Amino acid sequence: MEQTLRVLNELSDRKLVETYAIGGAMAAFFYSEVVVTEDLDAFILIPSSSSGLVTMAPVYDFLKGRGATERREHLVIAGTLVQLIPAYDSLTEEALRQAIEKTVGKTPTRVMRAEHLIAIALKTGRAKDHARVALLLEEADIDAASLTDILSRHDLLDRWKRFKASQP
Amino acid sequence: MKTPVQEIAEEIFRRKQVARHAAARLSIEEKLRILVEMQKRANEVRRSAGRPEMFVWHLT
Repeated sequence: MEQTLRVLNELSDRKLVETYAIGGAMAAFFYSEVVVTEDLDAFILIPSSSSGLVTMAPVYDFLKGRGATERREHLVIAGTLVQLIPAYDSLTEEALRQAIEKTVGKTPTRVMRAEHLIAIALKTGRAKDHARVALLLEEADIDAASLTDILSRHDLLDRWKRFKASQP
Repeated sequence: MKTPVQEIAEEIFRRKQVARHAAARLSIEEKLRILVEMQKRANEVRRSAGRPEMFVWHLT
């Protein structure tokens, strides 16, 4: 895992991405108990070229040069199945920019804040996303004011109310 | 008034909640070791059910 994170860190160091952050189930591990997952979601913010075009090709080329291999829509990087996900809306971009530094062993990495994980899961809205929200609410130290602010700014308060109403 | 069985069930659920909170506070390194074990066990079930296996991480 540390080797995987070192390779991801290199993406930032070499300016192939503006920044990256772990999201999804793996990010939730930093705040709550483990649930089984197959892949690590690495969100990336890609710098746009002078033409305004955004391409992931340089990122993939670099990773393959570091020994990454393709497996379905994923890359296997140093023994970990990684899904690279470009920031796809204002919420994921904010979550990337405001991610916090954590360490695994001796290797630093960037992890989305629990409040953003909840907001993204609510927006995605699958059953497993709702389960993640419930887990984080029960086990993580959530900043309620920050969560409300995020949900409000990203038009997710209605989904939040529906989620809360669905809980026992 | 709770029945004895209800009290036993409540105590079981209370203990489960305590255990989950303790699991949430393990180090990330320990959680990753647990994840790999969970992936392996999930594959045992998947194999027996004839489903494709999930990728098991190699922690390096």
